[in-house]
Amino acid sequence: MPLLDIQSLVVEYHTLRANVKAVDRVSLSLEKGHTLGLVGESGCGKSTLGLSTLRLIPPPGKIVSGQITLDGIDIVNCSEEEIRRVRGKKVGYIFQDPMTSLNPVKKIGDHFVEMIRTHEPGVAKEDALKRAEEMLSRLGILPERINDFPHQFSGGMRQRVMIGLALALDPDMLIADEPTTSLDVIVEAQIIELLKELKESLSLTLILITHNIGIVAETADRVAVMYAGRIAELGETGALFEKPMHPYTQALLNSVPNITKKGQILSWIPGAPPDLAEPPTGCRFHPRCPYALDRCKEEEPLLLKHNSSEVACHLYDRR
Amino acid sequence: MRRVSDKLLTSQKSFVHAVDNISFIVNRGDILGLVGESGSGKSTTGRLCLKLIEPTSGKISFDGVELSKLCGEELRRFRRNMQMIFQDPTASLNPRIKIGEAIRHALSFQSIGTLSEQIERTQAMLERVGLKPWSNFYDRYPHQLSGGQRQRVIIARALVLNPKFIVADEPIAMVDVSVRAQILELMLELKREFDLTYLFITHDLAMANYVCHRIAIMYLGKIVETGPKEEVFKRPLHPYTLALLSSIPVPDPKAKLERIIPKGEIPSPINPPKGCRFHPRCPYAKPICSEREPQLEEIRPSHRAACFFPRS
Repeated sequence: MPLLDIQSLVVEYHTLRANVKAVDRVSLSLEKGHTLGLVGESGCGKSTLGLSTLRLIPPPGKIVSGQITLDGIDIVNCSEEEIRRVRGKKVGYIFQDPMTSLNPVKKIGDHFVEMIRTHEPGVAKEDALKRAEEMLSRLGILPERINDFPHQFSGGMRQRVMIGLALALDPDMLIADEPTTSLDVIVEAQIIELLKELKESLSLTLILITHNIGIVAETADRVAVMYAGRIAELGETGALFEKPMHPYTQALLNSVPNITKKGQILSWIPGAPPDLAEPPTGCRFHPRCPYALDRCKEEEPLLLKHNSSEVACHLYDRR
Repeated sequence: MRRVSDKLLTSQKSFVHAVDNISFIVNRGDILGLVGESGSGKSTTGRLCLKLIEPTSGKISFDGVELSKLCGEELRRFRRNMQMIFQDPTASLNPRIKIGEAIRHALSFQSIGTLSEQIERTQAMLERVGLKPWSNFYDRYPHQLSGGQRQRVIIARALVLNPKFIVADEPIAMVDVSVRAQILELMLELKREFDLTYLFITHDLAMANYVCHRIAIMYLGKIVETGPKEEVFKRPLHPYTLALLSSIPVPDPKAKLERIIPKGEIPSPINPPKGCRFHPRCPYAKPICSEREPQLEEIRPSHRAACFFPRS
């Protein structure tokens, strides 16, 4: 049984102008111990999808329909009490920006104490601090630095603290939303290596939300490519990179420079991602797609199995 | 009673050597990539080249003219030769000024042409950067455009003066992934067409590899390696360059890379390490590295590095 199973999830943001479907009928499942890479451009709904697995979507966002099952728990309909037991304990979340996710007037150790004692009220402060020290040293930070404030830490170290907080309650699953976006290349590589190592040693299930195709290629077992709130393609990392099927995936992979390739010519996708308040009819990618057929303008393609992958494109639908 | 400002002004001063004793040449028609992590001084270097900030010491010449000798009206007129493309296209456009006017202001500030000539040149420039037909864009406000389109406006505004030299400071860092290549191609096309010279500032080595002819790698205010792109990427000499190269995520799951990731992060430039600034993080450091500072030396033809024990 998969650890996480999402069935036709719809998440809307209700605004004055329109109801924006940020995530539209998304289904995917994730086996225990696997790493899923969730890629797409800004505004494609990848962060919203990540947040909805912990029911953390900020208002005016709302899960409208669909099902999320995490380790047998019905996330969409369970009580507030139950979801709190999932957050932190079953699933750790690493938020996008390590600079703003830490409280500037709290010591690093107190972040851990708050986190641990909220979920395990019986733990004494000293024990929580001890656990914080162990966690920090595991992440390559001197344990005595629990008495420092966030501003005394560099960006990379703050991100390590964020990872430590997400792991403090020993969760089964970790969701990392753009964990390296605000970091420099070398620090980025350090954090990715650290995540890979932790995933192995703690046998974590990992969802890595990123726009960085290179990071996905290095870490993920499976990749889901999102476009305008829908999954365009879902498959094994190797197959998806070797033979991308959806025209959007193809274009995305061709627009990223690869330092190991000689004489590479980059291509790009004309136009810009659509406004989700008024998504295009039919296939949402059709206005930017070089292979668009008449059918693509009218009929929305479904995510269908094709070889080992799943792809939502009429080019592969031989009905 | 002491005023707050007294205290502030009399407190001990420390200096940040954001850029420390660097020398480089950008040849006409070249694209020099200035690569480094945040805090390495690459943006400061870019601004110095345009005299947007004054160097504490040193000399910057542009086309044979020494920039420090220029001031006032003379400097203003001279600036039409050299323009900047900024990182954040949203922050570099006034939200209350229509984009056509924003571009035309560059011409009117330099008093080039009559009003109708300025408008005509703006229209042509809009079309040239791919915002066509111009009539759809001239009267739009920045918030009505996408990020990629806004970056095109910034490029149009820099190029409408027909400059010779462009400093592009992370021109694609804030643009969506699928649009990045498009902006790069546009910049390369315009380079050929307008006979431009670029100083391309970036932290993204893969992008630098794609765009630049020559590369200069900066670390903590120093240039540690410089040379033709092929040389620097294929046969890096400085351990820091090697570290940068091996840190890039490669969009190919089959690529097996041997990684040399240095420990720690770039230290504060207020009190940089003695000797070679990279030595505390360098896997190959020897005692001499903490004692003496290596100078940028030519190790292979036109390929220089500041290291006592260059690689390969």
